[in-house]
Amino acid sequence: MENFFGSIYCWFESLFGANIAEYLWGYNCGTQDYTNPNVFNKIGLLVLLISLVLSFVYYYVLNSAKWNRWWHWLIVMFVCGIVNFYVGVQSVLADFLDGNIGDCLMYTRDENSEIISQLINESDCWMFGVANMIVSMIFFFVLSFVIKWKSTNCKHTPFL
Amino acid sequence: MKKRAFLYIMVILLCGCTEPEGRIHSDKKKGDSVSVCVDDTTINISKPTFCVYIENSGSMDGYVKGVTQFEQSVYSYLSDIKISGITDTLNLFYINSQVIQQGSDIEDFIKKLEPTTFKKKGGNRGTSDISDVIKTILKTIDGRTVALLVSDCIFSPGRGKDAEQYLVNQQIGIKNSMADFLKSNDCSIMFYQLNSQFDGFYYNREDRPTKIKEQRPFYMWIVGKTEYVAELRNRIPDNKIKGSGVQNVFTISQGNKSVNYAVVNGSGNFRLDRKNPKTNIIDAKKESRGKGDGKLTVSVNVDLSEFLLDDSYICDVQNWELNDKDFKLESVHKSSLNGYSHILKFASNIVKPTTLSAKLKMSVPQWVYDQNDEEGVDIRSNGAMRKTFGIKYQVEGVYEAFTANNNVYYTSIKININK
Repeated sequence: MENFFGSIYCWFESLFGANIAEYLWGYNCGTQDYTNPNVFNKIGLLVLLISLVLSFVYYYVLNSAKWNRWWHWLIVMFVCGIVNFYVGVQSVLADFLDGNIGDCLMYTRDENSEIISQLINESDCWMFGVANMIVSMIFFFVLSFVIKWKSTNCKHTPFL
Repeated sequence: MKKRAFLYIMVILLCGCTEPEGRIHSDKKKGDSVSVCVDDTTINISKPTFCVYIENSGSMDGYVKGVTQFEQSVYSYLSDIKISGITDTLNLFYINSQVIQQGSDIEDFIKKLEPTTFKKKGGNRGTSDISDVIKTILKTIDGRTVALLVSDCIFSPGRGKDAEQYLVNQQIGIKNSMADFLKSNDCSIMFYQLNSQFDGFYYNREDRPTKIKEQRPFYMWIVGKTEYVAELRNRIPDNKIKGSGVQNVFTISQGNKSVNYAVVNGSGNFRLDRKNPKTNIIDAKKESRGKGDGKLTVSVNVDLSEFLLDDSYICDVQNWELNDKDFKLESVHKSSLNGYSHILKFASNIVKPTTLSAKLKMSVPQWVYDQNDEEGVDIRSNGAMRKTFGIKYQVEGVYEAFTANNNVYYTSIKININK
């Protein structure tokens, strides 16, 4: 269960890179083990919660016959994606800029400890935001089909 | 009543008879022969006791005539030991066929290092039975004692003896004494070679003297519990010893030890196995062209600080043995990561599931063989002036004791590699 969220995010690892993934898994350069908190779980739970709230709002708060077409649902899903894109970027970018990501994940160094290459760039943090957006939209899609059935006006949205 | 009185008297008499152990030396005078080093009444139980033995056989006279580098080296080393605070108790002895106590005053001891003093102290100065000397010293060492022996380490078989057989027997004797000691003691050894002016008689293997005034090697054996010897070397590095300075070093510790090690994340094209990230890698692939020469590479941080080995020894890839011929240890260098001393870099042209094992070998350094005088006859021939008769037999005796029962590796590390 502790690897559930991480496993889902790793479907999109090619977007944000293995080193950001290791950081989010909780790899600690000092201990050379996964002894830091699993950040995937923290972000994943937050994304799940936001997706649940937004789908609940659509189906039971908004719950409008004027908003029960499939493209209305799609708009809400994209709003969910945009919100979680921001959440994803901020989660990682703050640590990147504050230097909280371990040195061994950030750089390759030679025998004299001189930097040979930088392994994580700011663009990788933005790409994690994209991955987070996709994951949140998947959550929104699945949650929609779990909770929509009691909605009076939208239970057939997006389909079925 | 009479019976009760008799019993009381017997009890009093019995209580008065036994001396507490350790007070055995307190009434001994300086210069008296002793059989053990330590006086328990003066010990600080948190710090080791240092027992320093200077060999005072006839062949040592040339090192102490006047002020020599020998005296400078010994004086500086003993002073640094005292100043470092590593010990509160430093006892000084002469040693040949007997152990002769010399108190604890280093300055006085050094001032009196002269051939006349050596002669006066007695003992059998005519021969150097090094095996016996080492055996005697080992008997004085317990878990709280570090022994330092300063000697020219020259064997003296004597006239008419089979020198080669003598050397082999001495080697066996040293090996046996050391092996016995190692059965019940954690121990490491440092063996320093230094140089000094020598103005006196050199006695060859047949005890024939030759007058020389040259630079000659001498040695310091340091034997004790590993943590004490390591702390000593940490506080007094080799380059701090004055006089000629340390020319060569041999160190050895007990082997087959487990050490802390971990695969370096990002050192190759692989993932760490999250269940065992320090020892297991998965999805191993060759590096792309232009990076790592298109090979599978993996680096491992390892902590070898508990072994008293020079970086030059550890970083020599010849001293490592791999179990898989498809892998090569490309380099070993110092690690900058806290908790690790060195980083090993492995590479292979083949990617296959395997358990890669790397073992750090125990060996006698080449300088011991280079410095060995096998003949011991003519000090002025074949570069013998800079060598020591039979030195390799002493070192090999010690080496064989440490590597008995097939303990020929200091440590080994294992990395599980999966595709």
